[in-house]
Amino acid sequence: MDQLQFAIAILQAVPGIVAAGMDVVQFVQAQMAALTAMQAAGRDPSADEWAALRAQVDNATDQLAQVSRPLA
Amino acid sequence: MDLISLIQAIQDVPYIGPLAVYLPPLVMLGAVVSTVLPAPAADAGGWYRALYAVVQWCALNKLRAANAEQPVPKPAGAPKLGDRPTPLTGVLALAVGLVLLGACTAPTTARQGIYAAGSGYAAALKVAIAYASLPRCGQPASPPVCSDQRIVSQVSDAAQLARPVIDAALDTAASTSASDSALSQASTAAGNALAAFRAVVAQIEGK
Repeated sequence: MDQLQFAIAILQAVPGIVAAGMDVVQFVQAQMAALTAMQAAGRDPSADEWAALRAQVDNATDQLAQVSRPLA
Repeated sequence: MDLISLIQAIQDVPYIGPLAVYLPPLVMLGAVVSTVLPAPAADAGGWYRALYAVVQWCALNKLRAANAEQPVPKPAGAPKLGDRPTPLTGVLALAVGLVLLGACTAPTTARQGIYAAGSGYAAALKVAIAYASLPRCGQPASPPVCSDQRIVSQVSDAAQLARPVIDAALDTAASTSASDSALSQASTAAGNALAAFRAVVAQIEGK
């Protein structure tokens, strides 16, 4: 791999990494907002909020299992 | 003049002010890319030299301090390009790490604590997914931005270890008959499981 190919490969990877980072940032911000709203209202998470959180954990666990396999 | 007033004053400068907001991200991106962009070889093409110069300008490396240390030449046998993961993936971990640090909104009830721990676990899983989705290092066509299979396996194992504790805490929180002490114990256990998982995920930051 020469230097130009190396540079191009890095620059091509940047948008994907930034997008993945932004996805996580948005998720954390949404959860923080939900938690802050709960505290302001003096209440605990609703059944819908628990269900949404479980769905997030389930989906993320499945995805991690898929992408963690050693590649051939 | 405080920092906010200073920023507002800069933004009020005609023509230049509105563009100033793009400057810090541009410098940050240039600094990150410049850490992995090798200097042009003697026979490098003009395009690469131009690209390298632009990145160095963006990273504010072009006008180096006169007293800066000269770089130490790499010894013979040093790793070649693509032989190891680049620090570029650290961008993801760094961004997430900063947010997670800020995500420490102190819960006021045990159920809120369990909700915060579950959210933190899901966020850490997403970081792990992003890293594991990269091509693996050490493949024949060694990509410069890659993930280490050893770390991917460790993170996956740590996620599986933490999952039952998080699930049990979520079950306890969903139960209307759970006692205060049971909720408190579940919240503590979930927080500890999350901390252990995050410690393993934090390895990504250095890769």
